[in-house]
Amino acid sequence: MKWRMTSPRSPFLRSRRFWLLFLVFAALSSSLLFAQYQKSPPDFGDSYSFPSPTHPEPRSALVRSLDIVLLAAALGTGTWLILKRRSRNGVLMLSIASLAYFGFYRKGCICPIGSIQNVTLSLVDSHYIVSLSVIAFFFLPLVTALLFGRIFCGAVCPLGAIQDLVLLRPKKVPEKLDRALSWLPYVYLGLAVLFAGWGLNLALGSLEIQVGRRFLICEWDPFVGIFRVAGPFHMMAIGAGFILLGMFYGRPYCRWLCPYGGLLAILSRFAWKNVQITPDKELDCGLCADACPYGAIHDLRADRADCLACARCYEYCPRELELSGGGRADEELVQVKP
Amino acid sequence: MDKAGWKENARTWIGLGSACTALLSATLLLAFYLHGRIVTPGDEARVKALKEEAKTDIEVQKVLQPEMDRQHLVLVKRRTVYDWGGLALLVSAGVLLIWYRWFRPDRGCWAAVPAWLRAYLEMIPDRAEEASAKKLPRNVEEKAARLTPAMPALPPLPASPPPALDLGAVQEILESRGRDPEAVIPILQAIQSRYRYLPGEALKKVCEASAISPARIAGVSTFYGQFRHEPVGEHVIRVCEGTACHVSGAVEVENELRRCLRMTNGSDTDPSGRFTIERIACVGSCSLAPVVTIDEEVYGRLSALTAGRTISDFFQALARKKKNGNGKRGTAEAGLPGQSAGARPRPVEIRIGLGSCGIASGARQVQTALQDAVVSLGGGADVKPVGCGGLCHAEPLVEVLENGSRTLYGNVAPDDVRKIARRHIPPSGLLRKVREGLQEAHARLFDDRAWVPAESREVDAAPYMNKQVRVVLENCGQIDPLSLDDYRAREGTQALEQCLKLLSPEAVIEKVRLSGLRGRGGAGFPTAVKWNIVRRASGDMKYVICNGDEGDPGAFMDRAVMEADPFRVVEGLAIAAYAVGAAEGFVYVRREYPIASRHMKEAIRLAGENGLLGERILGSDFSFRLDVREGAGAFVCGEETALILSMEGERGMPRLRPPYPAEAGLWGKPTLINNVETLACLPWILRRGPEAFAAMGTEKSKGTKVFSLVGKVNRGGLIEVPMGITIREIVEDIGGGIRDGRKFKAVLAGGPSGGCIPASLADTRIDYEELASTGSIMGSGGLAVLDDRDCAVEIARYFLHFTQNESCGKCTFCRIGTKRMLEILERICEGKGRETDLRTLEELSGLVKKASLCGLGQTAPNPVLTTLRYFRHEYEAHIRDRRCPAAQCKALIHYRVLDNCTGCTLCAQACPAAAIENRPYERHEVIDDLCTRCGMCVSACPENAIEVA
Repeated sequence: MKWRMTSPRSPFLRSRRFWLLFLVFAALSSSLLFAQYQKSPPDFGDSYSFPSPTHPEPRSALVRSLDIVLLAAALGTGTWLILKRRSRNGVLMLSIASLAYFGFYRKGCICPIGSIQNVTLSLVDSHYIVSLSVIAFFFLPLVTALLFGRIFCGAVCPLGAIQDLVLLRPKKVPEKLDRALSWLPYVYLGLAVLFAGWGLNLALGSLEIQVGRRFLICEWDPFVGIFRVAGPFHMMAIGAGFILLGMFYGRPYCRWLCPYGGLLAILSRFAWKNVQITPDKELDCGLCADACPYGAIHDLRADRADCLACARCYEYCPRELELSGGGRADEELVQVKP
Repeated sequence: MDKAGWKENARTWIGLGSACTALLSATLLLAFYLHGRIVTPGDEARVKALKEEAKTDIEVQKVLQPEMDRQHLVLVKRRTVYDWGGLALLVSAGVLLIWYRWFRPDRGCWAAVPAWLRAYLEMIPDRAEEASAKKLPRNVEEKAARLTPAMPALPPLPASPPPALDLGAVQEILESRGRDPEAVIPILQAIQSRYRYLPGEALKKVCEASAISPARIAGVSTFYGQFRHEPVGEHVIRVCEGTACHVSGAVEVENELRRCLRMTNGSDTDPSGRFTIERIACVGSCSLAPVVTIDEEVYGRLSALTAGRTISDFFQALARKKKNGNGKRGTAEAGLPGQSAGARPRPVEIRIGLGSCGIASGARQVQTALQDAVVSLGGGADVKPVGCGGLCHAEPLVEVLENGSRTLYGNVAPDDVRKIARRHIPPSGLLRKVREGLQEAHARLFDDRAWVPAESREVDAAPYMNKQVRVVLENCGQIDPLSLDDYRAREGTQALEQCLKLLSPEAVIEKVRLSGLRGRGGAGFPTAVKWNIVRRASGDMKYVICNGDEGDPGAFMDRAVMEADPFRVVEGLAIAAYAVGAAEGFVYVRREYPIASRHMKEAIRLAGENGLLGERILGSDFSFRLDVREGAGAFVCGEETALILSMEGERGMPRLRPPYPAEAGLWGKPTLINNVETLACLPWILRRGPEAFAAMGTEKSKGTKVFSLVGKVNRGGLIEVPMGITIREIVEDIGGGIRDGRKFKAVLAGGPSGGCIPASLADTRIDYEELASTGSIMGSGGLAVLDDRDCAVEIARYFLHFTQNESCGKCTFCRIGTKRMLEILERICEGKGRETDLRTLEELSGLVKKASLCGLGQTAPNPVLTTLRYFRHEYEAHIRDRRCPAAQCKALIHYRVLDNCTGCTLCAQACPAAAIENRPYERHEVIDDLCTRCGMCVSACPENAIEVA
């Protein structure tokens, strides 16, 4: 069966969305160009160094508080779009906007994923002072997850958005492999916390490992390099690798590596509300499971921890289409041979 | 997609162009990046060296400046390339993305793309779709696979010549069963269970070595449905043909099984010789209809879609058994009924229903899981296997008793068991508490299902039980069927003690007379009158027989009582024997009820050991021996004279009465034959007094009656209601109304001998006479509820097919008359009826009724007469308009998908004949030629978008 990445909706919507997306991409590209020139031109020679992704330039207090406000607004809107409005288009738009702002404009640096490390360090080292915006970025998505599931992943996270956009031909991962891989985030989380707080000092016989404190997540972030169109080779390579992988396997980083995603997964088990695939009654037809690129539909229900709240399944539910009147209107859908 | 318009071409070139741009710019960027990485270190080192030199050497400074300028220029150039290349990459990638998503290949924009490229990118959906036209989509396939796991390949059995039969066993069988002609049925049964069929050589040997004539053997072995003269497959699949199964689609299940096993139309055994399919009158698990048994395993709630699964399930069960047999033996044995006796009582008691219905819905697995859970919680509870409690619609049932409060869980799956156990049993010891806590937390963290509370499985039995009064069923589902202690704890055996110690036989009969008890087998003959006849009959030897040959398809109350409360039947028999002065008794059980037969035998053994049977029972002068006889599969043997002949080892053909069996029955001796339910009433009557019994019911029909409520009701199962309750109360209050919100059409009372009572007469009270006035009978107590999708003609045809099949052939009118009637009904169902048919039917009905010897023939036309009386318009529609108003008769209907189809593919997934193409989001279509009219799609469709007409 062909994979229906497009929703079976009316051509009008489709074309409008096309133009909107085109505009966003054009704007994105130019903003990227703009961002390029904001940087001081690199000085070749001994003064030259690639900008470090771990230590971006500090921002003014106003902009930092703006970030918090924007994050909160995005989370709120995302919740509304996913749980109430049930709109895949809206979620897509929101995540693209978030990608533009938090990703390309803010260069992926004020992000909840990295904030794990800042929070850890501030707990371990009393001299390290963590800003309010970092704390807000750490906690806001977690609280949202506790209430509504992984809204942050689906609608706000720029890393997720970029992977979502490059997803072209999703393939299924064997469930056992998926299960096994979904342990990696916790391993990564443990390592990140260890290195952020203490570093690693080991002496095993002749082998001595001495690594100081470092922000592992930031150093190995796959997409920050892409957001900045600059970065050390390994970051760019990992980024390209994830983008390539992400074309066939939905959001590989989010599902199998993101340490913050691991935290969100645990908390969203306790979620007060979560994604309900069909608007009213369950059909159990299996089309949503076919459409979910993240393998998050188990036994034909959205798994609270695995669901990345992308809202795709809504569009693939015949019941939803029936209720919204979208299914019948599309001339391409109802073609019964005479 | 041959001719592409300019739009399509433009789209194609946009796509190809952006793809090329993206590829080019990406290559460019990568090249520059790598170039910079490779070249720069050298340059850097050179500049560094120059700078170092410049500190001392003024000449070098002069060289350095242009070098630095040159490098700056290089850098600026490279930046420009980076910027524009990056921009080009982003824009083209964006365009490509949008292009891919919104102008998909199948929308015509791929027409200009070379075929090899398309093939390479696997983007030719049409061909792929064509290939999978009959296949389900990926995940749907997974789902279907879960429902019907792949059929295990069946390698043909080694084609060696049939091994020479070892006839030594025949001798042994003759030794153990005796050589008298009356032992012929047990002998044949033993031979059949040894060789799986009746080999001619073995039969010859029986004739030679005993006093049984070949004619006797031929007569008996061809009369009873159980006996086979052909070799049989390794495993026997029995498809239940009972009423409930029939209306729930047993025919489709059988067809699907035959298809799965690649059986051709003629044969009943598959080519590999593994399976033989037989039809069976009724398994008695009607609330799980349709039901199929494979050897001893019962599979319920099947459909054409899931029928194939049973075979692989059966193989799995077989493998499990083999494994258990080799390894830890006894895990499966543990917790069988009868084993909980004597154990120290624990604060929590967990009852699990292990009746046939429960087992068919997987209660064994639940039981094993339950025992494991209890053990891991520290064993703070008793797990007690009990019989059927009557709520068959919610099987498997688990009931937890704790400090006097009861919690009932229904539809329990093995996965739910832990939650239930945890809810009621506190883990003992710190270690267990911690472990359980961790396990719970672990489960909750990694599985959403662990969050579903145990409460969600709770069943409120109140609406089902409120209007019921439990006399016969008072112990069903409450006690371990094979624990005499349990039975005694619920006042069991008191009635027998009271009889033997305080009452004379006459006094017992008087009490029964006062209670107004009438035979529950169907005809409603006053029990006390019958007893008096036997009591007064002269003869040194008298017999009592418990008639457990519950042949009516759709009735299973006798089975439930024998399975769940066998001591009650034993006690009732002993009381009856005491009252009529019999010294020997038999329980005649259908062969389709293996569990009932086993429980009865075991109960008789236990009762004998505890002094309730045998010589000088309970210290009195009364002695009574009891034995179990198994039937051999003939419906007519439920008739008392036929039953007696069958026990004597003859063909079970009813004979002329009088003399009644009460005067000359088994071996010519006075014989009392009572139905299971009648006997099961006795302990209650004697314990509570006849007045209490007579207080219930109507003027002429006293007490309570057990019904098996099956068919299209929401809550089916075993119910016991006081006489005088209306049919409407039973269907609507106890049964919870008609399933799927359909319309109540009629109830079929009394199985094939009864008739249908239409919804317009639903206020008829349950009473022998009132039911008879509608043209139906009380019968043994099957109540099959029909909705507006059941065709009256088809139902009449079904019942006539049954009685025609079961007619013993003695009376011409029954033998040929029913055949002719059946032919007419089949003709009508096929839309080939004639105007004169209805009159002929009525005429024949009257003749068959008048000219038949036994109840079978006398009542066989009842279904036809009652449907003709109440649903004549349906017959007329079939004959005149060639139309089936209930859309059931396959020759007259067609399926069509309506416009409100949402394209959810459920119907395509449900269709066992692949007559619906799987087309997500499109309107589906039924291919009329492939459609088998099984109705699976109609029940699968959530939008009611399939029209049958």
